[in-house]
Amino acid sequence: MNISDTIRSFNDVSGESFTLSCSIVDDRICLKLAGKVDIQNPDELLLPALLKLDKDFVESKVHEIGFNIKELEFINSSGIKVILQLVMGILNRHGDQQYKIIFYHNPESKYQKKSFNAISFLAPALISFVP
Amino acid sequence: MTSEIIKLSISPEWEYIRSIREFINVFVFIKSGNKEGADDAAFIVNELLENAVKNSDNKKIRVECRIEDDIAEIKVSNRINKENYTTLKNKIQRACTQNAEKLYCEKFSEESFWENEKGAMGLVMINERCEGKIHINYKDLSIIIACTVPLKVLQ
Repeated sequence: MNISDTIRSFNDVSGESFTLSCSIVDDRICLKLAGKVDIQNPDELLLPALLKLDKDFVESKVHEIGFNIKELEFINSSGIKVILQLVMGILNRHGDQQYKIIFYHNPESKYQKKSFNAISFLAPALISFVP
Repeated sequence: MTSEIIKLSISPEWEYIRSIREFINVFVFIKSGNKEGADDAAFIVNELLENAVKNSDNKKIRVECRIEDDIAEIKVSNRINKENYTTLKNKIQRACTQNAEKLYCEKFSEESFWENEKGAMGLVMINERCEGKIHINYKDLSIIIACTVPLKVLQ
């Protein structure tokens, strides 16, 4: 199965008030996390899906993905920790198995960028934020 | 700006957290006109409440939000035994001694952070938002955590 088929077959992850989806936008793979990530154990829902996608990205030699957080209204520290685990996994691999993540945020929301500060501290060479 | 204060006493139910977070966000924003400060206050109350609900031992949690001059003070208290208080106090003191970037790097290199340390990430993120102004006390068998968020008064 090529990466396009993998993404087409990806089932959105829906929590009580948030959704993680994956699609191809302008020829780029784009994850989208929207809503309020404020459940007690977001890792139980989000981490398996993110790690599965991560494995597919590596196998397909993906070099860059987008991550749309423009409609992310709230994320608690447990949710941030899930994203950090994804990024740590990428960081701990050889360079040829790494890929960059571009976070698309809402410039009106300082909250979003502040919440993801930890991630940019962790991997400035792999992570960037653009409005 | 005149002082305003909200006090709540709630059962330790996860379902209350979102409502209180959003209420505090609106309250601080209306009072100060400062969206960033309101978001910071809301994030802090959310994280403190999450910890309190997890550790409250089915006892009431008290939440307080006071706005005065150019600050918002968030205070959350819940029952906790002395041993857990001492552990948490040590964590908070550690979280308050360094800047956010250094703390993040330090935390991420600890194996326990990824395996079993609960609440460490939240503390670091709170510390970043209240610029290290976290105070912790133990009184009447309860832990009281108070965080001060600076507010630039816009109206």
